[in-house]
Amino acid sequence: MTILGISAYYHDSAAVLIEDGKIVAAIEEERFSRIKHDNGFPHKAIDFCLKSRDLEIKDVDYVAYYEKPLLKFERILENFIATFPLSLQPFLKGMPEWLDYKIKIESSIRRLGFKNKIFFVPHHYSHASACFLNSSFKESAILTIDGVGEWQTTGLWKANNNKITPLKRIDFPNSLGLLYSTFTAHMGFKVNEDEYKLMGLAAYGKPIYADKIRSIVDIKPDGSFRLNLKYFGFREGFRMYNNRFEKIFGKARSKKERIVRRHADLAASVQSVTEDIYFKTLNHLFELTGSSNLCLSGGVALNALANGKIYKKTPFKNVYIFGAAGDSGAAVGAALYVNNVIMKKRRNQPQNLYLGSKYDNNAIEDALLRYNLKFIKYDSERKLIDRAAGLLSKGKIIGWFQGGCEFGPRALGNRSILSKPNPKSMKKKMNIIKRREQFRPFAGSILQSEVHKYFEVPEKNHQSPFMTFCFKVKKDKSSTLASIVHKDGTCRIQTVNHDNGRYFNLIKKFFELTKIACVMNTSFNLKGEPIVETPDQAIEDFLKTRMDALVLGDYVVIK
Amino acid sequence: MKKLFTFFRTLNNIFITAILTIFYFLIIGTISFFYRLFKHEDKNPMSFWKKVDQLKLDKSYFNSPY
Repeated sequence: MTILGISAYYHDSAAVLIEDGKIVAAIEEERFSRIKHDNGFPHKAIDFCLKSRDLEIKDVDYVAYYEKPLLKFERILENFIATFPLSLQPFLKGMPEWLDYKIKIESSIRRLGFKNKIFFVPHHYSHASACFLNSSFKESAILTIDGVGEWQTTGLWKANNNKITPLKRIDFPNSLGLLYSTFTAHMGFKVNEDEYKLMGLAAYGKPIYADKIRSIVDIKPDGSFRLNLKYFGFREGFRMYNNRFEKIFGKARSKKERIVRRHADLAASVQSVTEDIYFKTLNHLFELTGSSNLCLSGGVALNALANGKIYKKTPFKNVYIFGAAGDSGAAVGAALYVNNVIMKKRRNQPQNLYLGSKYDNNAIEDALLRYNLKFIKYDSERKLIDRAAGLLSKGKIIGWFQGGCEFGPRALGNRSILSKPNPKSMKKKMNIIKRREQFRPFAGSILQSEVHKYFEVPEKNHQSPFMTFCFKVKKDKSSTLASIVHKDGTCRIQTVNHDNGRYFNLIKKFFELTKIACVMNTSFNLKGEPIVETPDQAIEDFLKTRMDALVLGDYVVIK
Repeated sequence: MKKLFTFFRTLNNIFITAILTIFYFLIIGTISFFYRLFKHEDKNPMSFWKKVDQLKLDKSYFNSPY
């Protein structure tokens, strides 16, 4: 049975193909369109998924869409009614888009030539399925939490085998995701894109505004909350905050304004309130379900800083967060929901996320020749790994392009820029290459077998394959990992094992050479760009920056 | 030809905006009046969690975009 999952028209449009319950292809539209967080209909992503399996649209049995568009339209209309007459501008802008194509998603899918059944899986059902059905848990508690789906913004669930049961919910406009995004906008960052910048900035401040935030958010002991809408502008217009909000928290930062202490304190404060709601909610979920397993999904579940504290602040023992926890991953969830819940098919084992496009040596060599670059081709993987690990051990920064590109927001060692995790100056060098703000931290990829020696993880050989958790760095390792330890002593980590193939071999060799089991890993892209998808894009970024070497498949280019 | 096309496109946009503005004030405005009249919110409940209606897990629910 072949199922095509689709997400579109909000942010991070994506397509995924499932064959007999196994995810065989998945990619975001942005990788092809080169528009970051592209929200258009994912024509190119669908095309890739089908071509990767030599299929045509007529070969697909079902299409699963990641939300119910008419239910979402109902929420939008009710919002215009509730905010009349202040919402005239968004009404005039939003209505033509909705009536033109957003409401007619079924027609868009039919225009592909698809004649079979289409399933519309509610947005938070898609999120819940994406995490639980990809996990190895037979039963679990689930928290779905994001900006907004159709109506729902937060959901508590209980899952058992192929059954996912909703327990409680919070609806729009009360949304933890939108609260975080409001502060993101107030800080001069982009909504639905730069929330992680706010998370990074939080480490530099103190939560001195937390009480003020609590004065506009009513938080109950069970984690439920209500926003005081007098202070927010996202219902009425294009600004997330309003003048009353600025009276409390000060004037919003303009994009080019310098970041000062007040901004860091605001970031620390909203992070602190977010964590307060998050952990109260999780403790309430534990009381409801009694399960020691937890699955998390939705945009807010990408808050790695909060995730790292779950083991200490809640009774949950095992936590699984799907790597593509945001809306692109909801396409996976919708397709899995159709396969496992509606069609009652057996669940498959969890998989890695290297589900995107792959390029063979011929395509890579053609690209290198097009750019007139001198390169070395290695006939054996061992020699290639020796060379790349040698470069890393000497402090060189390398672009690393291998196999299928990662699905989801994180580069997990197939489209990455890598370096040694020390000295501290490596961070500055990398930030210059990436053309991004100096306050932003970098993640580390570490051998799973060594992780407990470097980080305060909950257990020996702890597995965290998708960079969805930050853990404290052990004191005796903070100088070894100087360029990836953040101001608060934490680091976002990806544990690497045999499943990561060539990337695992690289870090293993690096460990042999340096006695350090960890490398600095950041996504292979420059500021404002989606992660590179083709060898050409990788070469262009390599040539534009001060990267020292580029490893593309079996080829190495040295500057 | 290009100027003519731009002219008609602008005219079309103005027409759509005018229709939507009328709709907004007449229809949305009227509904909004009654909405506010009948919409009541619990001032200070013990919890803001809402109980969820269990979905009937039949295929037809999932075939509908609503």
